[in-house]
Amino acid sequence: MRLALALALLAAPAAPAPADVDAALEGHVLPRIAALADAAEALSDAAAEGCEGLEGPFRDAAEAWAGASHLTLGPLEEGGRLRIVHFWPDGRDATARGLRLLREGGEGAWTPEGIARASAAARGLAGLERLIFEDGGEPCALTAALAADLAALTGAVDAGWDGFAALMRAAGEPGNARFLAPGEAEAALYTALVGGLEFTAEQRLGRPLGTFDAPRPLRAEMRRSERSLPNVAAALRALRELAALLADAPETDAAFARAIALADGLEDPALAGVAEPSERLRVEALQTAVREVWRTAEEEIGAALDVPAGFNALDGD
Amino acid sequence: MRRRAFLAGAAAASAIPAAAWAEVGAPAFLAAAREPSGAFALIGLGPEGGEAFRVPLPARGHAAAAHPLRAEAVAFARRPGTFALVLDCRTGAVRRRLEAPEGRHFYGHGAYLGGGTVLATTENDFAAGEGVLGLWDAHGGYRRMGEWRTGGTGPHEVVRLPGTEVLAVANGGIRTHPATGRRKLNLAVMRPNLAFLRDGAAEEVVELGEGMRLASIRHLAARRDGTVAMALQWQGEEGEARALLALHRRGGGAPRLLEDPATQGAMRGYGGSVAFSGDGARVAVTGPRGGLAQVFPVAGGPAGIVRRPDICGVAPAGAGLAFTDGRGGILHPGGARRAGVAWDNHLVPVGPG
Repeated sequence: MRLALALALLAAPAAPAPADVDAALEGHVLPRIAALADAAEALSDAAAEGCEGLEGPFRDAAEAWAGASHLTLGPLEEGGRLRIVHFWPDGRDATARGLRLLREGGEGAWTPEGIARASAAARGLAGLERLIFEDGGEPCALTAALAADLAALTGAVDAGWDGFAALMRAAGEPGNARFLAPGEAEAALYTALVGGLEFTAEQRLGRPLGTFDAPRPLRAEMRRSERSLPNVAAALRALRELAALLADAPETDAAFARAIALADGLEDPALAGVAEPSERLRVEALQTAVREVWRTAEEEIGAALDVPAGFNALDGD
Repeated sequence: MRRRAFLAGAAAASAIPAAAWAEVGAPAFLAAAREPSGAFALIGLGPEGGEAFRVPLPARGHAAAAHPLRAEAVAFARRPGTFALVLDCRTGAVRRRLEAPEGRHFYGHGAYLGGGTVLATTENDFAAGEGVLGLWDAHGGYRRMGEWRTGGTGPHEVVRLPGTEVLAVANGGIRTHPATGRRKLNLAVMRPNLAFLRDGAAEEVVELGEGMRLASIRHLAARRDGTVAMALQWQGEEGEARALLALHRRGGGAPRLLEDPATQGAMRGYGGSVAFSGDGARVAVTGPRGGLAQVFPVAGGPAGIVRRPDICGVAPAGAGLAFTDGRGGILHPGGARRAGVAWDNHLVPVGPG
């Protein structure tokens, strides 16, 4: 909205922000977003050279994404970028459909403009994973075009964070319509933390787990590249980093340590074992541990920051 | 009951000496709120969000209806509430307590008609599972005068089309019963509709189409030309949710659905409130679950996005829009401020309309 943008631009950048907002921005948000942009650029550079050997650069980009995917505030929420960087969950296999359309369009359509018009489901890591791990990177020109698109997108997110970080530091300044009080920037980071824990427990782990009678191993995130479990571990490490910068929260940190140890102890990168009773128990134990981190963080950090639960969001009327 | 009959009765009571809105700081909006102490209040807000008055509420309110002339507001208990309070906004006194008749409960919204002589309230005839509008004589001590059928189940919001005596009713389609609280009893067969009522007769009843059967039509706004905007709440799987905003004009064919692909998922299937901008050129639906509002040009084109945590209230303000949120934020065309309260779902414009 024009008004909000105008107000945002008025915000003075030189406000004394609460120390933990600065610390979280400098020690977590900005480096994680920069790492994502760097990894996407490395993948794009490699794809420009040729379509073989892209598995490693893809996995590096996935690792960076898992460490930043909870930072949904700011530039990633603009223009549907979150869903473009990684279109998941995808219950209807929209990625396959989107890729088919792109293939049918032919090389002439694989321009930056053409890719930008394509389905979000075919762009980003979702489309790239199929091409690299199912089709050996072919067609090369499409893989290169999608990788360049992802690099441009994550580069724009990285650039956009300059302004958004300034807006967070200027929380409570006159004209800052997004963060009307100093505590609101902290609260937004806390929301990202809790949202990341929820996503990890209920989506990254919950979707493949399904139910005992109907496990859904094919629904695991990035199972083709065997990033399902590594993404959980990377997300937990990143969220632990953020939690420690937001508040002194020893119980939350201990809960993180337990969950990360469980994730590191599993040897099931695609989470395919959810369909086998004994292995499934271990994935369920990991999910329980992540939920425990979530609950502990709400009690310990939510209370420390005095973040109100959604008064209207939870009303349901 | 026919409107003419009770309007004649109401006219016998001459103008009640009561404060006009100008005497309570000329508020532009009313909103219910939770104070830091945990107490609840109804607050009048000036055009830039400054507080004009504050009167206590005994419990969390839902919406309020502002009398078009008198500084008087009706605050509704949250559904399935059985009472509503007529508040003197100058003194804070409770002028009347409206009790839902036997077999009825309020849904939390109401609208004045007849120049403020009659109040219509959305109610559940829960034995029959049918919606009714309760009619109250606003010039005669809010005596219950009768009721009209709304032509659907679960009527949530009612608004009067500006400059007319036509009421638009959002029949949300969801059957509930006080014995089971807010439990939804009929999702498998729900059929929400938007009904236009004049003198108790349905002039038009419109549905959103088969694919939108699970979109409960919940909140409404009416533009000066009679176009009605509907905020929707999706009752199916969240991931299957479609548009959460629809526009319809009587006699204008099928309702038009508005959605923004980039942010539709972030709305989480839940439209909180809806309003047209003061100039009528834009229409906004709020999404408290995702902390964003989508603002669409009515003429078409991409949506603008306003982001605030727990954003829910929205109303016309000047030529544009004002928004309120659960963190106390008030955004208006001239800027933004934060009050030390949690704003409740709705921001209700004050004025003759």
